[in-house]
Parts: sequence; C-alpha cells; structure tokens
Amino acid sequence: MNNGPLLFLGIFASVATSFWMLLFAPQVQIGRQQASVIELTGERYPAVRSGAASQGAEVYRSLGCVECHSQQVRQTGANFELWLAEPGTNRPVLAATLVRLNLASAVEADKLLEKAPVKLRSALGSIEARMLAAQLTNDDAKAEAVLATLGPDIQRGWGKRLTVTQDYLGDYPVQIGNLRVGPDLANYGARSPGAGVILAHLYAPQKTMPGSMMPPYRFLFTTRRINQGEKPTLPLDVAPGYDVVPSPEAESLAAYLGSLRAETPLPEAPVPAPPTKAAPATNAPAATPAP
Amino acid sequence: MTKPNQPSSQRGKAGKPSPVPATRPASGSADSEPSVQRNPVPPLLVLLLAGVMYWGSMYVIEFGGEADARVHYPYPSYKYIEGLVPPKGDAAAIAKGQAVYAQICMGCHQADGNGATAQNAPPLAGSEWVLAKDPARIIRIVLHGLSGPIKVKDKDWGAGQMVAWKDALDNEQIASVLTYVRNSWGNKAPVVNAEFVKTVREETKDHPGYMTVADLEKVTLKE
Repeated sequence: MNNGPLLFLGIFASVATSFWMLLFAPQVQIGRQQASVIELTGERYPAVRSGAASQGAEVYRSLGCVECHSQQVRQTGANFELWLAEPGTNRPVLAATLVRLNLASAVEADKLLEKAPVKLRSALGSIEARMLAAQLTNDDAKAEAVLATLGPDIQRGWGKRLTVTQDYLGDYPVQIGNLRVGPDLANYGARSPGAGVILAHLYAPQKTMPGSMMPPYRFLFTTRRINQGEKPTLPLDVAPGYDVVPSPEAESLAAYLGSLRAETPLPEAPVPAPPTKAAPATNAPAATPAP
Repeated sequence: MTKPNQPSSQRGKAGKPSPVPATRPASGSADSEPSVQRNPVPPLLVLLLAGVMYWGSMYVIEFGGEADARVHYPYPSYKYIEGLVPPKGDAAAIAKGQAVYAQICMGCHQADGNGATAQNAPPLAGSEWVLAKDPARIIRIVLHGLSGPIKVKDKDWGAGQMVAWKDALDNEQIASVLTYVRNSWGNKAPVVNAEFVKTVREETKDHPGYMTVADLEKVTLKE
C-alpha cells in the first residue's frame, strides 16, 4: 500500500466528522440541559418525581412496559384558529362584521355571538388569523388568533404539544420506546382518571378498557376473600367476591404513571390556549330547550 | 489526476528498491511487474458526489433547526416558534417593568415575588393588595412608601417600612413595574397605565410621610 497514511487520514476524517455531527454536537447542545423555571407560574419544569413515582419508573422498566408504550408525542405542524373571546355589547355591529368577513351567514351570526367564546375558523395562517382578529376586535369585543398544534398524536388526545428534550430531564434511563402496541403514555398522568383506576387497569386491563391488548399484571396484587359489607380496595369490582390488594410495586407504578405529564407550555413548545369563559354569564341562558 | 498508465514505482520515493525479490519468476515480459495504476475518477461519480452533497446540505438547512437545540421537528427555527405565541397583554410594559423590578424591588420582595421575613417585605405573588382590580392603593404604596403593620394573605406583617419612590421613579416606570408585578408569578390583574399614576400622584401630592394601611383604606376601589 503506497498511500497508507493518506488513506488512514481520509477514513479517520470521515468517521470523525460523522461522530462529531451525530454524537458530539447534540451532546454539546443539550448534554447539560438544566430544568428551567416556568416564568408564568414560577414552578420548576420538569417537576421532581416523588419517591414512589421514581421507584415506579424502575418497576416500569423491569416489567418492560417500554416494549409496547412510547413516551413521545409527535407533532406535524402548527397553524392558527380564529376565536371570538368576548362578544361585547355592540352585537349588531359585530354580527354585521362577521357576515362581511364571510365568517358566518346572516342567520347564524347572532347565535354564534351567544356562544362566545367560540371558534370561528381553523387552519389559518398566522398573518391571516391576526388580521381577522384585529378586524373583529373593537372597543369591548375581543377576537384572538389562537395557536393550534397538529398531528395524529394530538388528535388522539395523547398530548397538546410535541415532546421536547426537556421533558425527559428527570428520567434515567429515558424510556422513550419505539413501538406503539398500546397508547402513548407521555401525558398519561394528565388524562388518567386517578390512581384507583390505574391500578384496576393493571389488574384487569379488559375491564377498564374493553378490547385492550395489554396483559394483566395480576402478580403485582394479592387477593383475599372479601368479608360481608366490606368495600373492595380497587374500583370497578375487578374480581367479584374478592378484594384485590396492590403490592408496593403496583402502588409505585401507579404513582409513576400518574406523574407522567408533558403538557406544560415551554418556550420551545407552545401549547394552544383557547379563550375560556371569564365569568359566568349574567344574562339569560343562551340555549333554551326546544319545546 | 495524474497521468494514467504510469508505473507506481516511478512516482515519489524514487530511489527505493523494489520490494519484489529479483528471483521471482517474471510473468509476461521480463521487465514488467504487477503495479497499481491511477485512473481518472469517472465523471458520473463526481456528479453523484456533488448531488449527494447538495442534498445533504439542503437537508441540514431544512431540518437542522438552525443548529438551535431548542428547535424540534416540525418547527423550522426558534424565531418561528416565538412568532406562534403572540405577546399577551402589554408585553412591552411588562418587560420594562421587569427591569425596574430587578433594579429596585427585588432586594426586599425577592425574585420570586414571595417577599422575605427578614426584610419585613410581604409577598407580592397572590397578594390581595397587588391583585385589586383598581390599582389606586398599590400606586399610593409605591409613590409614598408604606409604614406600619399590614395584613397580606392572612398573615400580619410587622412594622416594616417601604421607601417612597415618588422622586426616584417616573409615572411610566411605576406603571410598568406595577403591570409587571400584577402579571407575574401567577398574578393576573389589569395593566396599570401611566396616566392613572399621574392622577394619583397629583391627588396625593400633599400627603405627609409614608402611607399607612389606615390611609389606604380610605381610598375606595372602583370595581
């Protein structure tokens, strides 16, 4: 071989470049990322897990939950919705504006104003939505261009925004998963109905979620015959006639699952905030039941 | 590219003896020995390489997020993300107020707005004095200072004293710092405008010394 050193340098350079790009650059960028303080609420994000929940993470790991559940919400894009937040007092003018801007037909406009806050349009560009909002906002009526996050995961209700690196700061190892046999759990704590139902689901998945493919984790519980007049520990009567008592592992796993939430608005991942009704309406109820 | 068909032994390191032993039986003609030849790189390969490099740089430009760690797919850049969130309320005044707060108020009321017992500084976060819809009382506190006990969030704060800021801060600064305080740490209250601070300043021009809770309670708040 005549050009050994040159060949070696060439191979070294290509390997070093790809190493730098794929491993070292991300390490430099996010390797030392710190938990941040949410400016609006003053809370630390991500919140520190309780002792039970961090033990539950180990149970989650040992049971191999990660084989079937991912913990990452994906987003495919973002656009804007036009919301009417407050109709204000000068309703005839606002209704006329709505008709003029083709946002409602003349018949519907009044009803639409009654329903405020109401979504008028979706799938708008930022400039378009803000211009429409500016035209609808007058002295006391208020319209807003509201961010909407898009994607199948968000449509399924698995989260309100994409998952970002910061969401995993408290996790070691990061159990992000790569297969979705079951639903994504990145926000399970935010949508779950409470520890009792989580435990019932672990004991008898098909009872709480008919058609579920999840195997029951009965070895995490002990059963004993229930006495007359005694109330079972778990809701939904998962084992009729028996009381199902969760073991510490099951309790901590439920605590971990309840602690999974990645919905806090972050600077790098904004969360849609549609306007809400500020105060209960003082005038007559908007909808009267039809006779 | 060097000339083709040039025997390798003639390049570079000229005087080096041939590694092939002389006793080796010659193949073909007596003088020739197997040698590596240099051929020009096929133009098609160069073209392919250029194409791959072009595609690669386009990919990095489109999905690289401008090499900003805060940018995740599908967002193209951090600027784009910032544009998604419209500044709520009077964002400019809040930013200005934050600067004033850091300079003047933070020493006692702390960065988190929770006050400090050591300095006798009551909390601003969640304080009913701060959050009153009508800022008439809190403007008076900033203008003239406050002396004596005050009850904040169901806790009695002792005889601390807050300095009067009417000479150090102008109406605009007081309005912006109050707007910041009323819209930080979970607080949410209407913005304070400089015009109103000016009227209050005129009204209380002749007030002697510090405000007290008794003075403040004489001010009726508009709902």
